[in-house]
Amino acid sequence: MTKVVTSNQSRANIYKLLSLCYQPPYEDLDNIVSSLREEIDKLPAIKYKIGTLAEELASCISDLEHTKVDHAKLFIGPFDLLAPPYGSIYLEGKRKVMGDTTMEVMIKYQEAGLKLDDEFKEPPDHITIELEFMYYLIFKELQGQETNEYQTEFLINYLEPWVGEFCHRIIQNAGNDFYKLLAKITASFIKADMKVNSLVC
Amino acid sequence: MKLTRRSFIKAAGATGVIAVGATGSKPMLQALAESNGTEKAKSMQGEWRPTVCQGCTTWCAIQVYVVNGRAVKVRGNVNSKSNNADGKVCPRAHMSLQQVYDPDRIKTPMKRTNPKKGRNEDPKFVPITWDEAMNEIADRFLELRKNNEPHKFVLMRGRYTYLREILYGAFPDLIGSPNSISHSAICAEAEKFGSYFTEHNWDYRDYDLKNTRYVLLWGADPLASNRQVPQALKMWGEVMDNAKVAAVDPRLSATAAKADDWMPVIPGEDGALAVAMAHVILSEGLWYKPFVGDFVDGVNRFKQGATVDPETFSEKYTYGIVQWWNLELKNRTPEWAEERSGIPAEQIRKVARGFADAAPRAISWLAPGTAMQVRGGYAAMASHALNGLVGSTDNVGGAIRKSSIPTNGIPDLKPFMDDIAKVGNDHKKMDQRGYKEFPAMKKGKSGGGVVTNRLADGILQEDPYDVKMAIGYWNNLPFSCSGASRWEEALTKLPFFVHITTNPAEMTMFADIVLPAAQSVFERLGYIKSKAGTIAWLAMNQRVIDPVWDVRVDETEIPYMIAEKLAEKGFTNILDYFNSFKDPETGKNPANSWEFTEHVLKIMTQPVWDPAIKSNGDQFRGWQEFKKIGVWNSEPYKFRNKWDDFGTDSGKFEFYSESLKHALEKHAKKHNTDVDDIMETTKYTARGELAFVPHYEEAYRWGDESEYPYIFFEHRSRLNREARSANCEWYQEFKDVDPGDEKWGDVAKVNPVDAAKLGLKSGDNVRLTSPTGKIECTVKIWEGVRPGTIAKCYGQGHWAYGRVAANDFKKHMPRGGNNNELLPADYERLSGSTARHGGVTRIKVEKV
Repeated sequence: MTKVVTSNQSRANIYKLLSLCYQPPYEDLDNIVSSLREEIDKLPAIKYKIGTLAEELASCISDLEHTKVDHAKLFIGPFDLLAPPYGSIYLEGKRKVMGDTTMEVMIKYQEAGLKLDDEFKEPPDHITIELEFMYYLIFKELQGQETNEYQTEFLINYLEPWVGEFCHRIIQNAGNDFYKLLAKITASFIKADMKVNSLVC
Repeated sequence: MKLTRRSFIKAAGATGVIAVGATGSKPMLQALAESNGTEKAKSMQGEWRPTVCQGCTTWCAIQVYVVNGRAVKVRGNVNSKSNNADGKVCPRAHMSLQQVYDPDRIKTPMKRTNPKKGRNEDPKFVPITWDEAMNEIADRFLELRKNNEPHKFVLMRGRYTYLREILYGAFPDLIGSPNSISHSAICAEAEKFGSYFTEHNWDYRDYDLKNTRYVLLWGADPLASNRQVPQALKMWGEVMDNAKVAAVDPRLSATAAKADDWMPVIPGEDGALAVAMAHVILSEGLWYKPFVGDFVDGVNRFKQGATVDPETFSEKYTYGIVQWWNLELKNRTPEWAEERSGIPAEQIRKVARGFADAAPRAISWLAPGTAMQVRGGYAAMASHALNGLVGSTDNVGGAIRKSSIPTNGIPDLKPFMDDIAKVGNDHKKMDQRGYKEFPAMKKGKSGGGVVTNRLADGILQEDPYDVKMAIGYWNNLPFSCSGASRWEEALTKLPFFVHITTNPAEMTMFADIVLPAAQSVFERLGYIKSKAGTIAWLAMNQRVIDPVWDVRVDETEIPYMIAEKLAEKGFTNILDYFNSFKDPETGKNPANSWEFTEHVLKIMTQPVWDPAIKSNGDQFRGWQEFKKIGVWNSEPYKFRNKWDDFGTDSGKFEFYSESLKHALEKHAKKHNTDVDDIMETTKYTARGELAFVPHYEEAYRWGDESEYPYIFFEHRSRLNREARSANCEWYQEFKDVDPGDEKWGDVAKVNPVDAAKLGLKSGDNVRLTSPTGKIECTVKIWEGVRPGTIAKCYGQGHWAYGRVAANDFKKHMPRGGNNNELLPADYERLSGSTARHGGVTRIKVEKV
């Protein structure tokens, strides 16, 4: 396999694993996190930036119940959703989901031949979905489809512009280190990936 | 095949890579799914879809503009024939767009992980599946039934659609609990008391604004708040052209600001005005003789202070005019009323004359401000009785009822009720209705109505017994009931509480399980019945958008899912009953909770959509057409149909209420006492026959004037969607559309005279203290309240309602203060109502 293919596999995997990390945590969280660390290790440029953080992340899952509560407060609510995981909140500056940018993201999915899974009941610009979409696009690239431009466009227009502020809110509000580290990893990875990706273009 | 997280991680572990493309493997997707070309980018062309707004109880038929599954705009349903027919709605409907897309909503079932409950306890909610939630709830029900105590379950209902027949009606019956407790008594039951015990109408009235020549408002503010707001907004220009308007209201309300006469009554003294106006109308011979009748010889004997011989008067459609005069009115002069109400005698006289001159096209519009007072039952009767004096009841340009709306009930549930349920249902209800001090005489029956706010005491005192489990839906009782802290204690005491709600609320803080309800405008099925401007309508709540989160319909889907789980565990009766609801068109039984919901809706509304059934209104070709139109309109109201028999004990419009006499005597007999004792027990001063006529009662207030010098009263916002909209940014940003109020704030409105005495200026932070509670807010110096009174809008002061509503949720800091923490829990006991108006408490004001 070429270097590009290998690195794309890892990129895809990292997006997918990050996507899973923003879902409610269950017993498999350990595995997800250790896979994430392994994939990060495979990309030297990324490892250089967040390798240590990924190691720390793997070591700080202690109390799953506590992590669940923290996850709920940050990303599910209710009462005061501390880090709303929805793009439109940041991109449009209103405390309201299903904004115009949400619909634009939905159209991006549709153009790529995707729809929301019936059982995943969240707005289309939920962080989990956008990260999974990046995974999907890279996956398709690995299968030989030209999706690189799509990836760049989606990153530049939809994902990167809000992830920084989103991660900042996580860091400010998380009750324990797990989500703070995850936020740092997410923000750094996307920033780095955008640079790498734009160079490829 | 759907790939689970587990299989995804396994694949990653086995191959070292997850995204292998070369093998032709499929991508592993959880949130997205490949559409195989079926999911083409949808058109951005939208369409108007019909549903209902339940932001107040006007319950307007509306339409939502939906583009690509998303709601973007709201208007009145253009197929509605009531006066809001041209697509107009009030701000509440528009605000629902922010409610449905509020990121603080309940998105998935959740359970509490901190067993300790209380305002300062973090519930530590975590998400669970619907199946896990149903499992736990079903186990609790089975435990109660196993121990033969299903009655220890309480269902607390708030706002509703008529699909309530399932969750509030059938479900507790089949479990075996009599405790279906509605919110009605914190709404406006005392208002219905006024029209019931005069003309046998236990309902809100409709008003023929188009033809009226005088509108006399008793605490009503129809341009801003409940009820029939869009009708008033549309019609008021015409009303101002054709009619005079007088507003009795201690506050300069939106409607009072446009009125010909504003009568800033001392809170709770409305009854003095009503009886004085009646005195003027009778003593000046201004009553409407074609309705009331006249003295046999045409000579008016209603002279101040004079007792009249009933034999000299021949009544037509009314009963007891002379007794009313003799027992109550003969000395109720405007001068007497001026001393009590603070309104100049000349103004009372002027309004009474103007009102009577317009007879019979004169509306006396009774609202909660005048009725929901400790002694408000008789003020409600007195102000409503004015419609009798001028013959405007059930008449053109007057206060009318609604045309009938044909609907079906639900199938008989008795065959499905087992012995455990039968025994359970025989227990007393937890709200203490029918107790000696709580007659709650809905439709004349002792204990016939609910005493919502008393439930908290019932739970706390375990009287009549202890409660082990409760479900609440579409309500927020620790915020919306006066004496709010009792509710926090009561909910803390409940061993197991499930809250079904769209948006989290203070009540949710005490829940063991929280279930996300479909939002009423956009996501649910249901139907409502309402009226305005001589048209009655039936409209359906419909799912007009793709719900964003994992919600269910509270009144039907959730009980169905609980029933499924109960059946799985061996108790099949409820599911058997639900599955007997056949689709009226296909005859099929329901296969799931959504189909069940549709069947209930189709069965209940069949008389309006089935072309084979002739209705007194719109006819449809069938269900599909009705769904598309969304609203059935009645024929215009037929006036004067009730005049020949109002349905009261005498058959007439009763100024001397034989119906009330009968009801009170029955209640007294039940408790082995007399009516005078009941009057005393229920905090009324009347003795003897005065109890049977509309009469003046001095306002009842908590707090000694020397310690608590100011009379506190509250009012409603034009932006309150049943006090559920405070987490909307539009609510906060536009809060200053309520006269005197401020954006993003909660102000106590103080007259400049009092502000000078207290050394206060606008913007000062103050603590308001009553004998039972205290809150903090800011001061607004405002001329729209009379000296000696302090007014505050209801709706702010949320401490657990979302990021926008609270000042700081984490620190439990509300935005302003909830009036219900200041107001004592007191009642208009004859109707069971919560007495939140009439200046029920005095307060003191301190700068903080």
